[in-house]
Amino acid sequence: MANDKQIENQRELNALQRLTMSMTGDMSSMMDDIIVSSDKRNKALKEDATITKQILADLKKTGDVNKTIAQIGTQIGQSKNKEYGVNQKSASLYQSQLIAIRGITTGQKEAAKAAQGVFDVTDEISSKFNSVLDNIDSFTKKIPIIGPALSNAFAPLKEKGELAISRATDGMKNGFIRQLTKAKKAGDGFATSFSKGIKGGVSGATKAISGTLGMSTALVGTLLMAVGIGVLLYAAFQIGAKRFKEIDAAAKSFRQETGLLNSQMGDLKSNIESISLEMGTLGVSSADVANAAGAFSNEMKGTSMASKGVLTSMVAIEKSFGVSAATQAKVNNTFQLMSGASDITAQKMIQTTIAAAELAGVAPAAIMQDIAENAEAGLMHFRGSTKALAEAAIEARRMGTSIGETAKVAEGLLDFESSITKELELGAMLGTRVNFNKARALAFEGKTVEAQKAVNVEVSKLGDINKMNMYQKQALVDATGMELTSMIKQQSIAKKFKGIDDDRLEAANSLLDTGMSINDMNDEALVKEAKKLGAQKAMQSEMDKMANNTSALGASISDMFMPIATFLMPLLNDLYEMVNFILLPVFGLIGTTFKIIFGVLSAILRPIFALVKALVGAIMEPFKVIFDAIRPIGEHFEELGPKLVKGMEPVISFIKMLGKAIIPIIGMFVGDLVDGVVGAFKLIFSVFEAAYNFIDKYLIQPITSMINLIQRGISAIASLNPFGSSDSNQLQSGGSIDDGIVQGGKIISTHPEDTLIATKTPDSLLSNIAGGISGVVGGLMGGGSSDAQIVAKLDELITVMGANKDVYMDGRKVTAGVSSTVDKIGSNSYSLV
Amino acid sequence: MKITKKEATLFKESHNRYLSESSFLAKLFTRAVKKGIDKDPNISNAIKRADTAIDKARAEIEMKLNGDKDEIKKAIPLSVRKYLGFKY
Repeated sequence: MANDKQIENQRELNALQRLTMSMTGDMSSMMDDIIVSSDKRNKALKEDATITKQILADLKKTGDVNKTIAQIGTQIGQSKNKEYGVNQKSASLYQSQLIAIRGITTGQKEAAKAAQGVFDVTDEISSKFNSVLDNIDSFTKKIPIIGPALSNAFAPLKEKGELAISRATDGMKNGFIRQLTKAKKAGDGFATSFSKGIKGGVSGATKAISGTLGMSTALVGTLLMAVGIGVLLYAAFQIGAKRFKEIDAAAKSFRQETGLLNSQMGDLKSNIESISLEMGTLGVSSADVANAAGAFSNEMKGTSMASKGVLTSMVAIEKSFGVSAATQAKVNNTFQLMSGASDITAQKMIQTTIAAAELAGVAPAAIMQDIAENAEAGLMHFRGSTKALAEAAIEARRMGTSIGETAKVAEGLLDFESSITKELELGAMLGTRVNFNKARALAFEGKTVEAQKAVNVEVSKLGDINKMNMYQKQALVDATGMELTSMIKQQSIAKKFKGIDDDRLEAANSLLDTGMSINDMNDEALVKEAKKLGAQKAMQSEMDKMANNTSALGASISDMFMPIATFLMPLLNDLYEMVNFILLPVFGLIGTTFKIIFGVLSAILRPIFALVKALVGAIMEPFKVIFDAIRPIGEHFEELGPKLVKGMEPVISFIKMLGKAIIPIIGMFVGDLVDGVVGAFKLIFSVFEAAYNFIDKYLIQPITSMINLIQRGISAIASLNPFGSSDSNQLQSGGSIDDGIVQGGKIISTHPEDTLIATKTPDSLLSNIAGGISGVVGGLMGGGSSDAQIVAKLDELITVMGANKDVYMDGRKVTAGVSSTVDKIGSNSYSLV
Repeated sequence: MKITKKEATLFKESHNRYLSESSFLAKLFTRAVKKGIDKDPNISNAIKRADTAIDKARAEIEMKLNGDKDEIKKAIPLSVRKYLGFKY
């Protein structure tokens, strides 16, 4: 049975067939002409033409081209051998017509095949395009969470796409057939007609699609929707991740606190999540739940974990009544140890105790604290009765004491010998009879609070404690085993509140009677009770409630999105692991490759560098010798700088002072300028000093030393001057050389006035000089004087010379001549000083 | 109804996006179809056989009627002659 597509295709092919039918219709008319015009004497042509006409009629009726082709072929074959007699000429026309019919039908047959082929290809492409859209839609639907929304967003685009493809398909087929038929009608060959048909098809498809407006709008809409969903998803992921992180951090803190492992946490993580959500309005956070779980686990020494019910109860009581999780855990443990009940039942007992304390008008937190801190006393005195312990704690609180203190008093009373002695001492001190026997009996029965009460009654008989003297008070403290402050406080409370709220206490005790049974209760019931207890929000202000409600709303929103994070986090971790799995070996491979490459390079380059280094070392060796040789010069330069600067300091200070004095207004700026100038001066001076000292040391000093040596000799000789003058400038000129000593025409000495000594025996000169000096000095000092006198005179002389004063010798100025000589050589190193 | 040039320009401009868009999709589609047709040997063979059939028919008719155009025109109607590729 033909489907819609086949019917549609056939409808299109009919257009091609109509052309054939039109032509076969024309040919049928031609047959009529043959039949009418044929000569009746030979009926063969008429009969054949009639048959042909019938064949064409059948074709028109059935459309069966193949049958027609076969029948016409048979007719063509038969007519070739037939004798048409008088109709022979017409028979040629008829036979040509048969050939034409065969040509038309064969052409039709092949054209139909080609057209069908085109239709099939078009349908196939159309199907592929549609399947792409279907695949996109199918893929979109499979995307977790946002899939359906994305698919819905994609639906309009898909619809438009399908419509466009459908129209393009129809347009293609229609355009093809129309153009093919038109071209064929116009006499084009099949190849040309087919080509025109394809063009027509393309044109038809394009025109058909142009009707499907707004594809891009739909596409943009889809993309925007996808982006929007993506953004929302990311935001949701962030919110969920925050919650995920919070719970994860809480669980981590639990593990750190307890030392337990992930695998040992049981349902704690889900408990943290659900309890923090359920008790959110009470201000319970994930951290609070984890903290309670940690406190419980630690109290139980890691032997058991708090159930959901216990945890819910703990955080509810903590938030609603201010009893810390740690305190509750201790009390829970105490109750378990005393009664042998389960942790769930023990927690229920805590709830009852708190409710009873509230009913009795005492602070539940104080009661719980008292029980927690005096667990040992509880176990010791209450015979395993948690009810008695709770009652005692409440009663003690009402009395202004604690079970710890009452237990201590009871223990004191039961130390009979000591207690009775002190009792008697107190009686003696006060001059009255004191009797703690009743209290002692009650203490023996384990009724510590009653014993305390009995003590208080006895004490009240003694009058106002404050009026007792110090010794009496001390005796009272010793006898009762109570602190003085506590005693006075209890006495005061007893007076003020005597009989008040006793009914409340009774009600509380009744509650304890029913609520402290050790019948095990289940976890769900405990959760319900805890929620009821928490709902009281007994300690919360209105602002707290509002803040907690807001926080709870936030937590619930976060919790709603947390599955996204819970879903994605492990995937992301897996992804990272996969990336690491892939990349780490790759990085390792790259690292190994680098190692090989640079190892090889190193092996090549190191010898090269070693060679270059050796060459450079060899080249630089002479330079090193030179540098080593000239290094002392540089060192001298370094040494000279500070010396010269020190020498120039007065000048520098003067310049500074001058600068400051002249331009005080400019202040700091000028100071800096002056400092700069001074620095420059220092630098310049240091250079000059260095140069000077270098020249001095290596040039002037050696020369001057040599001159000095000579001058000393001269000075020594000068001191022997018989004319009393040592300055050659002050000596009288001897005139011409003719008055000198000449031997053999050569001058050996000038005139005796021009020279100090002229001798023909130079060897005896030194001894003569020594004797002369001795004589001169001896004569100068008046002769016969001791060396001390000489030294004294020389010191005087030195002083005078140092003071730059003139020294006269035999009425002549000696120092003037010396100074003059010194000036000539630029140094006074040879002078007497 | 007759539209002015201005109205035609306006229409073209306002629908240009859609025309371009459809043109793109049509190109994509028709190119795929043309490629498919080119690759299909049955289609090209059918076209060849069709052309061969009409060429053969034309040649046989001309031979049968000794190439006498008048006879051919007399025997074969115009539509068929065109179809069979006769130039007259």
